[in-house]
Amino acid sequence: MYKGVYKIIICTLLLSCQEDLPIIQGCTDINASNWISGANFDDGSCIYYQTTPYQIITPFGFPDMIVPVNNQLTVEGIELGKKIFNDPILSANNTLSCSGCHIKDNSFTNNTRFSTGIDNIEGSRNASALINLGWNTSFNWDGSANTLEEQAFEPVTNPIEMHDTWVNVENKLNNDSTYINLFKNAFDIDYIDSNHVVKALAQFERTLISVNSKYDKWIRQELQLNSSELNGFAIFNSEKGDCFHCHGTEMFMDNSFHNNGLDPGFKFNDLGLAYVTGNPLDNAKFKTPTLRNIEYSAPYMHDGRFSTLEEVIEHYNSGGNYSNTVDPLMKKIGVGLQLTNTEKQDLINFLKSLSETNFINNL
Amino acid sequence: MIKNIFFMILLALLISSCDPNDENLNKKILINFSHHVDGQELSSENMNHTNLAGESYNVKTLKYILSDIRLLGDNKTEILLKDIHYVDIDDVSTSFFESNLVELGLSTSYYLSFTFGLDSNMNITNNYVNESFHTTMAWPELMGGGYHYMRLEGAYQNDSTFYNTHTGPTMGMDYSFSFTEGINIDNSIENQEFLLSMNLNNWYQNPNTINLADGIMMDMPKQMQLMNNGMTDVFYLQGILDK
Repeated sequence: MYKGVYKIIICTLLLSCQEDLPIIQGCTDINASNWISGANFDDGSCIYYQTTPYQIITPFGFPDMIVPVNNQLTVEGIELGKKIFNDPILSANNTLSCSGCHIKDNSFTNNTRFSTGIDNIEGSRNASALINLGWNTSFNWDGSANTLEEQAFEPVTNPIEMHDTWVNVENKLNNDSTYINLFKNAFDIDYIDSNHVVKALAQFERTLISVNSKYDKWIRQELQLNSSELNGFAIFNSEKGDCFHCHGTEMFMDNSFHNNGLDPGFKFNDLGLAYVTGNPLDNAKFKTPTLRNIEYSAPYMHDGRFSTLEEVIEHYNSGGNYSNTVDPLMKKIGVGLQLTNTEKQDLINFLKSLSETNFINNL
Repeated sequence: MIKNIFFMILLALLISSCDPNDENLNKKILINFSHHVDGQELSSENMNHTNLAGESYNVKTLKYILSDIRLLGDNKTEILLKDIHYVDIDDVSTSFFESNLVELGLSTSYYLSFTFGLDSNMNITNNYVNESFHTTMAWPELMGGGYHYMRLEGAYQNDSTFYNTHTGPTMGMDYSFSFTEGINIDNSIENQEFLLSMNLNNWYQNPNTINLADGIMMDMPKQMQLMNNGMTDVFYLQGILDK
């Protein structure tokens, strides 16, 4: 009798000494292939088939990559994503693939100001370069997508891009025995749906990593930048050039949005971030792109208005245009950086040291 | 009989193994951050604010880092509330933080202390790559490396003339500073809430009057002046909201 009471008291005491555990969502089944050590709240994402995990090695100075719990990278998923990326099957008339606008040789953008969709209609924004996307916290120039998976849904149905429907795309893929096998291998599904198409695309896009430029080799002390590049680096990281506030860190971007004085306030053709937030204080703010491989991704800005890096530097050198949402970091608005021709060239030479030929040649 | 003695000893051991501060298990402290200019709400558009130098200005950006945030008791009790807290007025989720008071011992008086910015031991390039401030607060190696302590930006005098009051380890010098102020902790209350306020005008006055027009960036004497102004009366704990 006493023994039982003691046991109850002991158990109660033991329980009362425990602290609240943090809730970690994920697959809690140790038998699943995507089991997460420490997860204590099962979110239904357990996968029981055999895939080959793909490990991203975090580059120097980069954060851990943002990978959704329910779309961990696998060799099979990435290969599938790459195939879909290059396949025009996503477009209504089977003529335009993702790689039709995001061309490898151009750092996965293209050299036209605006891309043309399947109905020969031109878009209004420059195709973004697809590079180091796994470290971005939002996507598209206006930040309209929060994840790569979410972003990949949009071009397929956009009437001026692929102009397809997801029902049609699913039908086409489910009538293709190659895709049926590949999706089975990557995700263990018998019916291909849009969710898994965008998952595969996102997996592939997360592997488009460029961190082996001349600059990176210099950081790793494998070679020396020349004097012009070094001077450009100094200007880039000084208050004189003041590039680093938006394009700082090893990622050369700040995951943020700015109005960099392209247009005066009465002449905004594109409201950018304000389209998403509805806040007029976000008018004409656009996502900062990375400057890695910038040499390959001309033309520049959200609307591709500048054809060359020289034109870009000249924009900042002459000060840009005032509007009520222009970023105060553009502190010399209307006056500009006042760099000499030599300094401008040095800055461009440094920017070109961020180019990685392997990135465009070997993927 | 022996069994009973055994269980009694076991019970005593279990009871003694529990944290002596278990009574504080549920006690929490909530620190809210607020910002104003001499009592005025921050204005991002109109030139509503005026500093001691007579310059009108607005505030479009305010981001800053506090570190080593501690609660101190005069009985030598000390709790680390948070290693680093990043405040960005555009991100409401950064406008407060909560911490447990599990290890809080009884003391007759308490103090809140923190470092404004990151001291030289913490302020190292790429030390916080996974923190949200890594990309927005990075301070280039060529200027000393690490992270900005604060970015205060806006327009002054007219809409198109901008100022950037940035503080940080200019040329590797440590301009971070410590803040300590008494805080009225009541041990009988479970959740206690405090307001840590920043009067932005005080960055530009007392003891040093600073003109926005003179420029601040990469000016080491100015950084020293800002540090001294910051230490004087920029921050204060404003009221207590007992819950």
